[in-house]
Amino acid sequence: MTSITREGEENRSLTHNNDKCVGCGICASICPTESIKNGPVLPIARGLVDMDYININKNSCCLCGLCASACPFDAIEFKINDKNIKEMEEYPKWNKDAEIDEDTCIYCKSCETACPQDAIKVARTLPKRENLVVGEIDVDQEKCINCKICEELCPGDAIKVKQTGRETFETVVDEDKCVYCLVCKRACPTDAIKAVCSSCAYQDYKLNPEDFKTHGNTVLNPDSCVNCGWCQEICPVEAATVTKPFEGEVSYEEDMVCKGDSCHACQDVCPCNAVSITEGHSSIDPRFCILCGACANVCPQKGIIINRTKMNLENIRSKSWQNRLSGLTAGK
Amino acid sequence: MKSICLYILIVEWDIIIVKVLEVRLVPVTIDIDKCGKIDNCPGEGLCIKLCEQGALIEKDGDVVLISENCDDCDLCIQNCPNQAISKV
Repeated sequence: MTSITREGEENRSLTHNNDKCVGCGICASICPTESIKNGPVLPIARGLVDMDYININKNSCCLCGLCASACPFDAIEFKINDKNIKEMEEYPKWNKDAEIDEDTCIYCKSCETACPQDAIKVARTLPKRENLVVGEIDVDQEKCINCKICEELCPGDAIKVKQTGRETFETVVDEDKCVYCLVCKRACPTDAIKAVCSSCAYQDYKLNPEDFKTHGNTVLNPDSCVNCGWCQEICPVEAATVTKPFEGEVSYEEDMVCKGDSCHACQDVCPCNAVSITEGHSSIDPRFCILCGACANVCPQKGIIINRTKMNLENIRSKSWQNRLSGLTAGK
Repeated sequence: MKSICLYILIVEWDIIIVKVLEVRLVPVTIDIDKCGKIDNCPGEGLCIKLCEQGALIEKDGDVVLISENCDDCDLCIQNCPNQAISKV
């Protein structure tokens, strides 16, 4: 965590949060005073060295805040008189976003599993089993010979033959677990089990479809979300919508000799889990790539081309900031 | 000091072979003047940790190149904090 503070007519402070940073180098490339240098991004990403992804030269930093506005990961926070410039109308605003619509979400947890940043948490309550199936079951303890055939057969683990005394047993059915499949009834050698499945016999009668629903809530943490699009792609009901920070495309140099599994530097630094090594060659899935350029920076072959056509940063009022930021979308 | 001299000899011997056979047996070279060995390397032998091919190994606190394992990926060249590794 690097922090630079200077007091004057205004009090300005710049704070770099390494936990959010991925070492993409966007800040370094747009800093007007060249005060930001990338650290050893690949060794840091692999956990081989304990350093910050970027170094900011405190002496030459002019505290303009351009890096904080341009960082697509919100890893740099810039404050003027203790107010974050992201909350000030004069400063640019990102149009990037990720949202999960609670009304559409079916709490399947696909997004939670797929999210490369663990930014999504799904809490859900399943419907009660007793509301999904109706029936009756009873064991005639007089007829029961405690053979345990029912216990062994029961797919729901609902029957237990308990020893109650030296020679006395009791066969107990847990009705919360029983789904009235009638397997025990059919297999019982002494016909001691009486059971009927009402929902099978009379279809869904007595059942309320409202009781079948899984309830819950899905929370997307905007602090760790990188807008990669995994949730949007994987959601079976289109409940997730993602707007990425950049538009454009990623490609490889034609004469690039990718070393695939020997190197996999691109895969290790990608915050979006967009890179895979397929048949010995790096392969970037555009559906999940946010064009941050971290992979291009660490590729020892310099074989990855990031071509951004649009930056979804709006309200850039300053002409000089527009000029500086246009460098990010002019191809790299 | 003795071991360093021996190392230089080995490097030179390799280069001689390269010249004779015209085959690149040394995909990368380590500049021993720049290399801080493990003790003085800011990355504590970062090249060894980065190379998953086993082409750079530690031997008695020194970095040793196993040429036949090198896959030419250049990760060591790019990441050496002393810029001690280069291609011939």
